[in-house]
Parts: sequence; structure tokens; C-alpha cells
Amino acid sequence: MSGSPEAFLHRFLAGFLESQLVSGLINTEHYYNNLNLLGKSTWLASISQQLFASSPKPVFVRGHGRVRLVFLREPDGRTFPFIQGLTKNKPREGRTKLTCFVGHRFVAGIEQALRFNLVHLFEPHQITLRWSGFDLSAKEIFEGIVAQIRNADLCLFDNLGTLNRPNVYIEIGIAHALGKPMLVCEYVGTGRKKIPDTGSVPSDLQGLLRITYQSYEDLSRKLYFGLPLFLERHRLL
Amino acid sequence: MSGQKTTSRKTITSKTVTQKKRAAGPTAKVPVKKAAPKGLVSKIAAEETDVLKMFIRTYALF
Repeated sequence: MSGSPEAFLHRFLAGFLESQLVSGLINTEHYYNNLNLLGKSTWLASISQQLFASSPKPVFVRGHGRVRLVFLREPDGRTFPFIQGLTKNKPREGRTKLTCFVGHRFVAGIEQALRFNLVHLFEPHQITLRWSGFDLSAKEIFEGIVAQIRNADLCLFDNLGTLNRPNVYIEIGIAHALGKPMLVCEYVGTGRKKIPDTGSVPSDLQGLLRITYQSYEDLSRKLYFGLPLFLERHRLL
Repeated sequence: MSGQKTTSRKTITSKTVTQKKRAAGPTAKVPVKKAAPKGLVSKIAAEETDVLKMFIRTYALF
């Protein structure tokens, strides 16, 4: 079962449940009851098989709603499966569309994978993503970035591959000074698969949600699971 | 609500507000950050006993 669709779906939903527990949304009793029910679920095998068979088409779970399985990307081009909860198409009444400024290292692998992944992760919240400029040394571009951060409702930064490349850290500083809600993604990979050339984020910045990750699969789950509460706490929902 | 005390790290307690008012003078308005109210995400997590339904409702927000 370990590599089966059923095992994948079980791990994914168990990870979601654990994130609800550690963020204080549910208590330990609620967590263990749900985990126990998940393990005994009769629908797990059939839904997981439908998700893989029909990907990327959505699967309607009766009495629940729609979910679909998509394949997101690692910086080296590998893909991994990911479950998306699908929202209604039209935005909720009276809600303005939010903008998120995204800062990251500009290398092809990171750019293509991160942007592709983030579009999927932010889609349920109807948040438009804005990417940072390429060259902070040009004065007008720097001012443009400051304006983009100022006009954004929230910011996300990924420090993968940023050792001796301070642009992302400068952008984090700007967002901090402007008091923007921030998601700071910090790569902490280890072992043979570790991607070299990555710095670390100062630990004393307040008002940010720091997400440490070992791969983009790890990051995508932590970000997706943590985003609803982050938005709610910053009154962005 | 300016006297509201909470355990939130971000919330300015009444003592801090009082201190700020003293420093700013008797006529100055001192902004007070209120703790974020419990919203739909918290409500969904508390209500649902089925993890798949909790997952779907969290992202569809209904």
C-alpha cells in the first residue's frame, strides 16, 4: 500500500489534519478521532483511484464537493502529485481580489517550478500573484519593487538558491518595514539531495510566517495547509 | 474595546495603551489592535468530523 494511490491520499489528508492540530484549530481528541476514522474509511481506495485515473479532471465526492489531483514541480523538473480542493468559480460577494508579491531567485528551474506551484496553491483564495523584478541594481526597478510590495496585500519569499544573492533578503526587509503580512519559505534540505547555494533567513523578523522545507513537495503542502489560517489571522479572507 | 485584554502576542494590552496615551497626551487618539476574530476556517475545523469534508470546505470556504 505504501506507494499506492490510497496510501498517497491517506498521507496527504493525514498531513492536512496534523497541520490543523499544530496550528491550534483542532484539539488532540479531535485529531485522533479523525485520524482513526480516516484509517477506517471505505472511500479512500475508490476516491484515490478515481483521482489518479481522471487527473487533472475533478472528482465529485458526493456530499462533500470537488477535488482533483494535479502534478506540481520540483526545481529539477521532477513532478509530484498534489490534491486541490476546488472552489466555486465566482468570487464571494463584497470581496476584493487580493495581490501577493512573490520574491525568489531568478534561475530557470526555481522560477518555472515555484510560479507554477504557487498559482495552484493560491487559486482557492482568488489571490493574484505579482513577481519581483530581475535586477535590483537598476534604480527604477528597485523603486518599482518597493511600489509593488507597498501595493500588495501580502508577500511570499522563497530563499532557495540565494546564498550571496541578497535580492530576496532586501525584499523581505522592505516588506517588513512596510508591515506587510509575509510568508517566508526557507529551504533546509539535507543529505545527498540537498540543493547547495542557499542562505538563511534572519530569525528575529516579526509578523511573518516562516515555512521551512526540504523540497517543493514539502513546501507546497505546508503552504497550502497553512494559508487559510494565515489569511484569516491577517483578516485577508 | 480599547481595554480588551487577550493573550495574543500581537495584541496591545490595556497597560501598553495606557502608557501610550500618557506619552501621546490627553487629546491624542491611540490606535489599538484587536485580536483577530475567529472566522470561517476555525469554524470549519471545529465543526467537521470527516477529514475529507474538512479539507474541501476549508478551500471552498462554505
